[in-house]
This record gives sequence, C-alpha cells and structure tokens, in this order.
Amino acid sequence: MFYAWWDWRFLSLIVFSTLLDYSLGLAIDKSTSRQKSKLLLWTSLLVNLGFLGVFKYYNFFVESWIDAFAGLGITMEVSTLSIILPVGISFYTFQTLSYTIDVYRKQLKPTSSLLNFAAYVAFFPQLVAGPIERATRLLPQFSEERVFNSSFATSGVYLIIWGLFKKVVIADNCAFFVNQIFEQSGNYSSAELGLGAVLFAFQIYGDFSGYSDIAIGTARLFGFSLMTNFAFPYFSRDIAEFWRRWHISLSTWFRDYLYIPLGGSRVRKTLQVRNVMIIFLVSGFWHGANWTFLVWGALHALFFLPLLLLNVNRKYVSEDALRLPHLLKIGLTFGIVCLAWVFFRADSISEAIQFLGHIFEMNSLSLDVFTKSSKYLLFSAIIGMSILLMLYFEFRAFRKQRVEVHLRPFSAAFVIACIVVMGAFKNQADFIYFQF
Amino acid sequence: MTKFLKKLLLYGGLLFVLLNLLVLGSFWSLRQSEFYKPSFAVNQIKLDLDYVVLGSSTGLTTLNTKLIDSLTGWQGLNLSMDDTALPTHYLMLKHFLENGGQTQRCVLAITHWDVANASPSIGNNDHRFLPFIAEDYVEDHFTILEDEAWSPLTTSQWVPIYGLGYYNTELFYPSLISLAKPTYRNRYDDKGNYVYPKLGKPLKVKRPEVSDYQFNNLYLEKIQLLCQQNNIELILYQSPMLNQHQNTPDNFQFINHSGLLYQKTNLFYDEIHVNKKGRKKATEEFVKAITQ
Repeated sequence: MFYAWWDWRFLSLIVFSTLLDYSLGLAIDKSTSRQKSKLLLWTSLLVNLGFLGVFKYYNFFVESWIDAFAGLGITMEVSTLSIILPVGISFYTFQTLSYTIDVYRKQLKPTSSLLNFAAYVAFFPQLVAGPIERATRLLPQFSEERVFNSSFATSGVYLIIWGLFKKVVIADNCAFFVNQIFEQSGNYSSAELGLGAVLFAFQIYGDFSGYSDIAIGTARLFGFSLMTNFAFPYFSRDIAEFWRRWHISLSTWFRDYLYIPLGGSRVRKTLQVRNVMIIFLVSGFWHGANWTFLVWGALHALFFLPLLLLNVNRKYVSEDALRLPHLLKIGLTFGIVCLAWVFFRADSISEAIQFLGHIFEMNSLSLDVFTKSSKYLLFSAIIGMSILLMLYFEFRAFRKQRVEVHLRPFSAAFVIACIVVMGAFKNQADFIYFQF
Repeated sequence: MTKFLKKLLLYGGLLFVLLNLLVLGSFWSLRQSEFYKPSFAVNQIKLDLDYVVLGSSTGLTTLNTKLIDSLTGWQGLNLSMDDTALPTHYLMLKHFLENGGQTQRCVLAITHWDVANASPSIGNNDHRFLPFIAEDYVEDHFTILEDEAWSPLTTSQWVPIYGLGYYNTELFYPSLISLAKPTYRNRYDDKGNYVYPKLGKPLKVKRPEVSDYQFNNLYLEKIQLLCQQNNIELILYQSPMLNQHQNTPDNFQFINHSGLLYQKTNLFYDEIHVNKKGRKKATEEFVKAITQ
C-alpha cells in the first residue's frame, strides 16, 4: 500500500525481486555444489543489478556513448528510455542483495517464510530511502515475538520529532537559498556562493539524516530496531571518520560486500589504493547516473588516500574528548566536504567547476542575497538559529559519545514549537534521497 | 502500551493546547495591530469615509488616497492588497462592512484578466485574514475557494495551529513585530497606499494591444450586490497600462484610464504598475473624472 501509493505499476518490480531472492536464498541453501550456489548468487546479482542498470543507468550510458562518439565525429542514433526511476530501487536492491550474499556466505540461514522476507524487503519506514538494513539484523526481528517497550517507543517518538526538525526546519529552509544560488551561480558573489555550498551541506544532512531518524523512530514504534545511519558526521576530524559517520548503512554495505572481497586493507598498498578508489567511485555512482556523482566520489577518495597511505585512517575510531586542534580539524574536514558537495548538487561538472571557480576568485564578500528583503532576512535568521540549535543538541550528544540526539519531554516540546514557527511548510521540498 | 499511549496523548494534548494558545495570542496581536490590511481596515472604521479603494497591486500603487483627499476634501482609505483578485476584494469589503465600516463609494480597481476569470480561486495573501477566522464570512471564503490539498486556511477554523504553522513567516513573526509596535504597517502608509520606490527593469514600448472586457467573474456581481445592499456607489477603475488599452464597457460606472499614460515609460515601474510620478498623474486624472 505504502509503495503503491506513489506508483502502483512499480510494485511488480519489488514483488519480482522479493520472489526471486526468496527462492534463490532457499535454493542456495539447499545446493550441495559450490558451483551451483555461485551460479544462483550470480543470477540474483545480475537480475537485481540489471533492473537497477536499466531503470537508473541505461539512459546515462546511452547518452555518454552518443557523446563519446560525437566527439569522434560519429553520429549515433540510439533511443533512450522515457521511464521514471522507481522510488527506493537503489535501497531495496542493496537490501535484497545483502540477503542472498549472506546466505551464500553461510552467514545467514534463509527464511522459509515468504511473508517475513517480503516484510523485510518492503518494510515501509526504510523502504524508500534507507537505512539499508542487513538481513542478518532485520529479518530475525520479523519472526521474533515483539514485546512493547515503552522507553524504546518513546525514544522513537523523540527521534521522529528530531528528524522532522532537521527536515522541515533546516533542510527545507536551506533549500530556499540553495536552489536560487545553484540555479544562477553566475549572479552571486564569492561569499554568497561559499555560503550557498555550506547551506547545501546542511540541507542534504538535514534532509537525509532527518529521513533516517524518522524511519528509525517509526520502526521503533512497531518494536523494530534499525541501524544508525548518521552519527554527527559534521563533527568528524578527517574524511575517514566522516565516512564512519555519514550514511553508515551504505558505507558499511560497500565495506562488507565490495571492499573486503576486493582484499580491503589486507593487501599491498597499491591494491589498497585501487580498492579505495573503486569503493568511492561506486559509492558516488550509486547516488545517481551523472558524472557529477562520480567526481564527488573521486574527490572523497582523493581526500581519503593520504590518510590511508600515512596509516592514519583509523585515528579517530574511539570517541575521545574534543580539544582545540580537533575543532580546527573539524572545520577543515567540513570545508573539504562542502567543496565536494558542490559537485553533488551541480547539474554538470562544468557548472560545479564554474561555481568553485567563482568562490575562489574571492571577487566580493557581499551577502546581499541573504538580506535583500525582510523576507530573505527572516529566512536567513531562521536558518542561522536552527543550525545553531541543531549543532548545540548534536554537540552535546557527541560529547557524551552518543550516536543520536536524546530529547527529554521539555526539549521535545521546545523542538516541536520550533518546527511550528520555523518550519518551511509552504516551501517544503521533496526528500533529496528519494531520487536515488 | 496503554501507559505509553496515555502518556503520548497527555503530553501531545497538553502541547497542542499550549501551541494553540500561542496561536490565539499571535492572532490577537495581529488583530490589534495595523501590520496587515484586514486589521488596518477594522481599526480605521472610526473614520466616516467617503470612499474606499479596493483592488490588487494596481489599486494599491495607483490611487493615492492622501492626494485624493487633499484635492477633494473627502476622507478615504486604500484597502487594496497586492497579489489578490476579486474574491479577496469582495472579502475585504464584506470584512469592512461587517465590522461597522461605512462608505459612500467603493472604487474597485480591476484588471481585465481578473474580471474574465470564470474560475476564481483563493488569493496569495488571503492568509492575512486568518486572525479573523472566527468570523463566518472569512470561514466561508476559505471553505469555498481554497483548493490546496491540505487546506491550511480552511482547517484553521478547527486547528488554528495548522494555519499559523503553514504561514509561520507571514503570520507568526509579524505578530511578534505587532506586539512590540502595533502601529507598524507592512508596506503601506497611514491611508493604505504604497508606491514602488524606483524604476524596475528597463521598459519596452510594444505594439498596442486593444481589447474588450470579458465579464465572467461572479465575484464582480457579488461585489455589485453587496454595494447595492449597503447603498454604496460602485465605481470600477482601470489603472493606466503601458502597452494596453481596454475598451470601456457601458454596463458599469467606469473610469477607464487604461490608455491614460500610454507608452510613457518614465511614468511606469513595469508594464502594469505606475511609479511615483505616474501615480501622481493617474490620481489627479482620477480626481478629475470622479468629481465631474
């Protein structure tokens, strides 16, 4: 019902994926020959990634192919598909794949209950934008008896409130300026563009982590525990730590099902570099069929590689106390993350380069766009106050080595009041990650 | 689970009540103030008026009631609101009259696309009437015309927090300003007028467009009827336009100045709004026409 509400025609895809992986899981388990198991696994991989390829990447490859040949003076006539991307396909595809891979690796016994498996694939809170759950973690929860836990459900309510705040107040208000600045970047000063990039960083964080919080909170109301997807990534002290805190369900998925099988960090340095490049490029490409996402992934790989080569990529694994040098590192890490976000947000690489070029020209420090009328000034004030509020709550939690903000009744009431008086209900924007 | 649900209902209900009290305070503050035209209209009814001007941005920025009053010795108010159409003009007149306002004349500044519109809808600034949601005529206006999926204006009659939350930047923050300074007016003077501060984009003279009015909007009839019921003389007014000329219809008392400042780019802010100089000229000509 939840999925069909958006477009019932794509139900057939998710139903097919579910039936296929359910059957393949059982077949892999029953198979006595390693070769046959491998064949069944490859069937799952090819079919699921095939769907993803057709719906998400076919047009991109065709257009890139045409462009490449046009560069050689050859005109190609290949038709593209006029289809829309089924919402959440990247998320549920990875979720079903993790099931068959885990069954193949004997890390999971396949479920005999089709109902449980279908519920695992189509679990509504996280179906369309994650967190991408693992079968080993989520699937057993469907067969276990769930006893209602009041404090667990209460924490879910608080998380929903906090997620709403991040989405409706921070992300949607930031979108007001971000859309204007990115759509006509040539009209803005260096300072406005720089601040536009920073606001996009908060927009995408508020949007995506807000959704994750709402999904995790909603699941808790039903007695399900979903994995943490964001752990205050903008307090990271280097890029390696950023990726341990940002979209955790995706980065750990790639770690477990791509990086480690490639040899991970247990191979010689040149292969480690190759593995890191692959994982970041694939991660970038997972987000969308555009060269901008690939560059975004490549930039993160470049930021990560020095840490890997100097063997300091696991320096901030433990949650040690923050000191002044850490604040500088946090600022630096946030700066380079913002720089990469420009590629993520821009429509093309040339636009992104132009955008960054204008920032570094340092032509003007004017911030007129944020103050040009009383309405704009009000939006600026709301954004400034809400970001400070979010950082305050998150920093407190971060210092206490928590992975999520803990509200209390009064602070929750305060946050709700902030949502009411600061939320961008009239200018609300769709969740960014729904397009992936 | 019962304990959890009871707690949720208790805290949720308490918060709901508190937030709605905040809304009532916010609406009260706006009603006492002059921040928006609906409360300005109510707070000015003590004046014995000879005329009111109703309209959208063309009415707001073309007829300077201060100048009209000084030239005629009359007392008038400009109750026009930008970004609105005939349904809102009707609501404004009704609101003014329901709150005890009296006027001899109603000057209705129209636009040809608005009177031709057979499917009137809610105005973009109608939320300014939300502090008066308790009034039946405001509630009816929202109920009949609002076609947004989530109907924040209509729903506000039962859940006021919804309307205030949806229009928070337009209502909540102005209510704070109104609390601190009740006489602050949002872009209009003490007689309800606004003038564009400077010339907008460079203007181009185009081939003249001449057309007839198509009267399809039932709200014009409603305004006509309301005026008749209250013995108010209704005068339609067409403000000057840069590149257009409308033929004068003969079924209304009508001051048609559509071609008055025809192609005089120095008197316009944009193609349909005069600037400060244009406003002076248009108002003087309006006075000549109405006093004849």
